[in-house]
Amino acid sequence: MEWVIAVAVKVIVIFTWALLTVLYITLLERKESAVIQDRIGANRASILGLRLNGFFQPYADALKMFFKEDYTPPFVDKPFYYLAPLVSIVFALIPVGAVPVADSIGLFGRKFPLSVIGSNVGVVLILSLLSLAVYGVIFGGYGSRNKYGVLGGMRGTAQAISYEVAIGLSLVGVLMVFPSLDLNEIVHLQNRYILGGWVPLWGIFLQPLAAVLFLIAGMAENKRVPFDIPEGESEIIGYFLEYSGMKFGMFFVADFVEILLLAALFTTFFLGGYNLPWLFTEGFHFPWGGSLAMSPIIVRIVQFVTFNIKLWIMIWFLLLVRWTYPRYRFDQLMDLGWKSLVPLSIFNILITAAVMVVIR
Amino acid sequence: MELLFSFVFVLLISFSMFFSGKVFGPRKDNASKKEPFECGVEPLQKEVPKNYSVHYFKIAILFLIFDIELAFLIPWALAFRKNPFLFFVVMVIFQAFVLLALFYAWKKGDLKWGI
Repeated sequence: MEWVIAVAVKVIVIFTWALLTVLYITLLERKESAVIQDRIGANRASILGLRLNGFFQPYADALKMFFKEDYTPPFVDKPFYYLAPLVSIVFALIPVGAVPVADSIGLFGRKFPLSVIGSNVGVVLILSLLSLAVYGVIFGGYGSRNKYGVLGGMRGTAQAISYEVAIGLSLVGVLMVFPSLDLNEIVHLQNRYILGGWVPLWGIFLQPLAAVLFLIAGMAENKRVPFDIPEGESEIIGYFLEYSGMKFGMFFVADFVEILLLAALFTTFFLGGYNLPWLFTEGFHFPWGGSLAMSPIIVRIVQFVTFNIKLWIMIWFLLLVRWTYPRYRFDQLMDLGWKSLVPLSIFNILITAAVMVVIR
Repeated sequence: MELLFSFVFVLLISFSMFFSGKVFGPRKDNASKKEPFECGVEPLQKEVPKNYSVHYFKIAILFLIFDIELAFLIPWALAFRKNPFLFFVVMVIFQAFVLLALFYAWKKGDLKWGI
């Protein structure tokens, strides 16, 4: 019984953390675009005259979205039309739960992982849920019964499934170096050190090519600006063309949740997850000989803070890319996916295998 | 159990978002809202065409091939350390066949998006 309550609390806390992060990603996006375009950005929302340079803006945005009219056009295909926003937000949020935010703790004599789904097949779970998220795009486009919506849905589906291949194939290289499907175990294996204990054995040092491929393919899967052909704000608007009010808001939130998911996965696979260099379960062990003992709870808190810092650096980078580059053309996009990323990721797998054979 | 709980929680959040617009939002109707949104221009043809470009279908087939390949590759990657040399040789042969398929599709023009 205590176990069930503990799990429920964990689910609520971690998803609340994820949704709050998503709210502040929207604020960061507005601020970052403002800096790039030499503006000040959103800073008007206030509580009791307290503005804090836009700190309350995301809440105001969300509240405004709640009070907008939710109009269902009469010509839509109702089941698909209603299902699409639900599918996209659910299958964007659930994989976030599989990412560990700190090392597992012992609770009631059992191991209590600090990720919502402490599954031992986490990688496969994430890949399968990501594939299901495509249905949100195709249902939305088809259900709208709008020519541009259908076009956006088709393009979005083709793009998403093309880049999913590259995501999966680049992760195979990581799985060869860290042979486990458990995300917590993968993060554990990155807490080792080489070159006399100075360089941490993170995925980005062992699999640099896979890291680049994963990042590009993930950004394309995200359908944001360098790869935003399905949406194309200035051309066809995209698969959520006929949605209004909070149903559009759900697509919008799902979009930002995918940024969070991509940043969290990149951190977990390539940047050592929650590992601060030289921090072990019982405290710091520095390569120059010193050590610093810490209690397990403090270590978990430090790990959580480290994870968040790495996450925000990645989110900042992703938003920077979004506000820097112009859009690809559709044939260039598919060429990039099938003619460069897929052969390169297969090449990466073979090179990794060859190096491992030689070292062995 | 964790998966069940998180599905329940996420579904609660998404349903509350789903119905909030109906509950809180205003309701105003007019004739132009009933038309498909095409930037204010009269829709040229009412029906959405049922047929679509066969290219998308070819891409979907290629995706299936590579996704099944991925399903083979993940256990291969996990078991790689048991006998690296044998696993490497097997994978070179396997990837040669798969890449052959990709290059066949490439040369047939299935990856070319005509203008």
